[in-house]
Amino acid sequence: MSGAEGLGGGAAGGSGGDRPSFEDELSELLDRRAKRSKVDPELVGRVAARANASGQDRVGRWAAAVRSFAPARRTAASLVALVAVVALVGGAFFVAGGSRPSASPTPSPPASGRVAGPTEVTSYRVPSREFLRYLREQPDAFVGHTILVDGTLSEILGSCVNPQPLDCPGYVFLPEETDHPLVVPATQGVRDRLSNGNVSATFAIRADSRDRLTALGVVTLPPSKEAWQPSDLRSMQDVDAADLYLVDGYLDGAMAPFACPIIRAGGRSWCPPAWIRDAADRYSPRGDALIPPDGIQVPSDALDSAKGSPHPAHVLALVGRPGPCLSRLPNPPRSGECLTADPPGPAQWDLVATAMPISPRVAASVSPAQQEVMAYRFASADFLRYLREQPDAFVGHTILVDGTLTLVPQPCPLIDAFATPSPDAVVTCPPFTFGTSADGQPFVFAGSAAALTELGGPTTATFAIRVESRTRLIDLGRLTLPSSDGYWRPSDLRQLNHPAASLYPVDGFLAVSPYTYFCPLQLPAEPHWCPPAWIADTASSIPRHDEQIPPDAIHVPHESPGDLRITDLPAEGMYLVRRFVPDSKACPAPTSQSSCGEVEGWLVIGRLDTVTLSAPTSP
Amino acid sequence: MDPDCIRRAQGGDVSAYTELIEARVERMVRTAAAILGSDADANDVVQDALLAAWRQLPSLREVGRFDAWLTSILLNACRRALRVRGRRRVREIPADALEGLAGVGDLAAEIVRRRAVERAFDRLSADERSILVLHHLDGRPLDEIATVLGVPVGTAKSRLFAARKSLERALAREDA
Repeated sequence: MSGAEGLGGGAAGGSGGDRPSFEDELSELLDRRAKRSKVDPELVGRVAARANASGQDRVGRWAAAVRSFAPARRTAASLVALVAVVALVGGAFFVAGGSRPSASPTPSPPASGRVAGPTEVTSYRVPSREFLRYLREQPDAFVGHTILVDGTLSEILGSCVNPQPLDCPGYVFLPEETDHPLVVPATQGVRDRLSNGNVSATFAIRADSRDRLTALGVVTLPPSKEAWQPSDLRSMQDVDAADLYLVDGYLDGAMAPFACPIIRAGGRSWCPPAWIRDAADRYSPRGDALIPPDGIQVPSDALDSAKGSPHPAHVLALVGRPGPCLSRLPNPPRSGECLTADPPGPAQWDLVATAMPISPRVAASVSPAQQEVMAYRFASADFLRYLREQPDAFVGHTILVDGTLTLVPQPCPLIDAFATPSPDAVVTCPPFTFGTSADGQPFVFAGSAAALTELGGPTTATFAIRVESRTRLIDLGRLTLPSSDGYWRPSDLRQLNHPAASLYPVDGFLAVSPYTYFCPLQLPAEPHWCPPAWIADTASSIPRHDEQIPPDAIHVPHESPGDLRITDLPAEGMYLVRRFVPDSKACPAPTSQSSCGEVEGWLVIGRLDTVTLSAPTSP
Repeated sequence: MDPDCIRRAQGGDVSAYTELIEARVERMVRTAAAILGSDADANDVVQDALLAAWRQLPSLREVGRFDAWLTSILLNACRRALRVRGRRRVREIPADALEGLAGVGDLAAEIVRRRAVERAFDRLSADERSILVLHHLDGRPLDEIATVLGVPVGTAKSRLFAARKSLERALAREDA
C-alpha cells in the first residue's frame, strides 16, 4: 500500500472502502508526531525566571549595555555593579571579577606517562572568553565533549547574545568585547544554586552539537583541593557531567604558557590533547595554549622537518616555544628528545619526544589528509555492543555501520542496547537499527520497508549514524562506496557530498574488513586506515578480535607506557612508548618480525609513514 | 481565557504570566512537535515563543486575541526553527515512530505507509505544516485559523486546501 493510498486512498478521495479518511489519516499522523512530545518540566519555570528578571523589554538593552560598556570601566567592581543579579556559590568559587584561580598546578604527571584510565574523568577548562572564541572559530571542536568554563555569573535577560550559529544554551557567554567574560544562567536551577552573590564560577558545558550546548551545572572544586584534578568531576555526585559524559583532557586553571606540556613537564600539569596555532602567528601557539580538542594545526614545514629528522621515531610533539627545551624538562626522556641540534630561534619548532601519549586526533590533524573527513565504521553487532558498554564513546561522532538490512522488530533493539538508560533518556530508534541475529550475524533493521525495497531485499549496506548524545542518534543516510577497490577512504564521504561529511567532524577510519591484531603494524604496506584507538579486553591480555573501537575508549590497564603492550596502543596517531613488549600469544600469523618479539624502543604509529618503529635498543 | 490575568501580565506580573502559560504550554509543545517532528526542538521553540510573547505582551491591545496572538508567535518560532534545520540537513527519527504496531502480518505495509506519510509531511513548508496542524491536530475552525494567521477566512481556506494538495503531491513523490 502506498503512502497516498494510505491517506484514505489518496486525498482526492479514492475508493476508500473501510480505510480511514484523509482527515483521519492526517490527524493520526499529526497526533503521532504530537504525542512524542513531552513538555520539559523546567520550561515554564525557566521562562518565568527569565521573565521575572527581565521585566518586559529590557533584554536587548541590558545585553547592549554590557557590550557597550566602556573598556576602561570594565573593572570587576563596575561589572558587578552592572549586573543585576550576581551569585555566590559555596566557598569554592573564584575571586570576583572574572579573575582566575591562582591555585598551583595539580600534580598529574605526564612525564610518568600515565594514560588516563577508564575510571578517570578529565575535562577541558577554559575561560569563557576563550570558549567563545573557540566556538566561533571551530564550532565543531567541542562536539561530544564536556568543557569546564570559568566565567563571571550574571543574568541575561532574555535574548541570547551568543554569536551564531549557536543557539542559546543554558548559559550564555558574552562576547569578548567585555574584559571579564560573563557566564549567564538561563535556567532556574542555576540561579537557585548561585543565589549567594559571587560572580565567578566554573560551569560544565556539554556540546551536543555545534548548535546545541547543554549546561550540566556548576562544578565546585572539592574543598580539600587547590586545583582541579581529572577525577574531581567524578567525585561530585551532583554533576551530571561526571555521571553522564566522558570528558577528556585537562588543563589546570592557570593560563598555560607555550609548550605545554614540555615546560610544565615533571608531573605538574595535564595538557589538552591538541593545540591550536594562531593563524596570525604561524610559529607560535596561542599564548593561552588552551585549545579545543580537534584544533591543532601544524605547519607543513615542521612536518617535513620531522620526516627528515634522524630520529623520526622520536617525533612526537610539535611544540612551538621560544627557547631551548631540554633545560626545561625536569625529567627528560632518555634520548633524542630535542631533535633540533641548536637552540631554536623564535621562529622554529622544537621536535620534542615525550612520554606523554598524544591524542589520536593530534595525529589525525597533522596528517596530510588534514582536511579530509573520516569516519568510524563498524559491524552493526559491534556497534551495538559498544553502545551498550560505552554509551558515551560515540557522542559527537559519526559512525558508519555495516549490517544486513531487514525489517525492524519491536521493540527497537537499540533501546535494549542501553543497559541502564537514565530515567530521562529518550533513546531514539533510527530508521535503521542494529541487532544481532540468532546465529550472531549483524543486522541492520530497516525502520522502513521502503528502505528494504530500495536495497532489493535483505542485504548488507553501510549507514551513517551520528551520535549526538547517549540518548540521541541521528540517521544521516545510507552510503554507497564510491571507490572501486572496496575500501572506504577518508575523502569518500566528502566526495559523496553526504551530510556526514559536510556537517560534522568524523574522525577515524577503518577499512571494510575487520582487522586482526596489530593494525596497522601487520599491514604496513596496505592502504588501510586504522581506528584511532583500540580496546583491550580487560578480561584478557588479548584484545578483542574486532578491534574496531569507539574513539574515546582507550583502555590501558597498565601503569606506565613502559608497560604498554602493543595491543594497548592507539593504532592511529603518533604514539610513543618506551618499551614494546607484545604478548607473543597475541601475535597472529603472519606476524611482522619487527612487531612481535621482545623489543624495546620508541614507537610511533602514525601517518607520517604509516608505521615507524625505531631500532630496538635491546632484543 | 482570563482577561484580568492577561492584563496583569501585561503590567509585568510574572506570576500572572506564569499562570497563563502553564495552561497553554502543553498544547503549544504538542503543536510545535507536530510541526517540527522533534520533541527537543518543540520545547526549545516554545520557550523562545513564550519569552518573545512576554516581551511583546504590552503591545497586545485586544486581550481577547491573546491565544491567537500567542499561536502566531509560536508559528513564527517554528518557521525559524525549520529554516535553521533546513540548513542542517539532518533528520531525527523518534523511537516511537512505530509504536502501536502489534502484528507482523501487515507490518511492512504499515511501516511503508507511515514512513511515507511522515516523509511527505516533512516535505511541506512551514506554513503548510502549520495550517494543517492547526486544523487537523488542534481542530481549530477556519475562522480561528484566519485570526491566527491574520488573513481573511477565505484565504485561510484556500491555504488549507493548498497545503492538502501539497501533501498529496508529496505523497505521490514518495510513491514514485
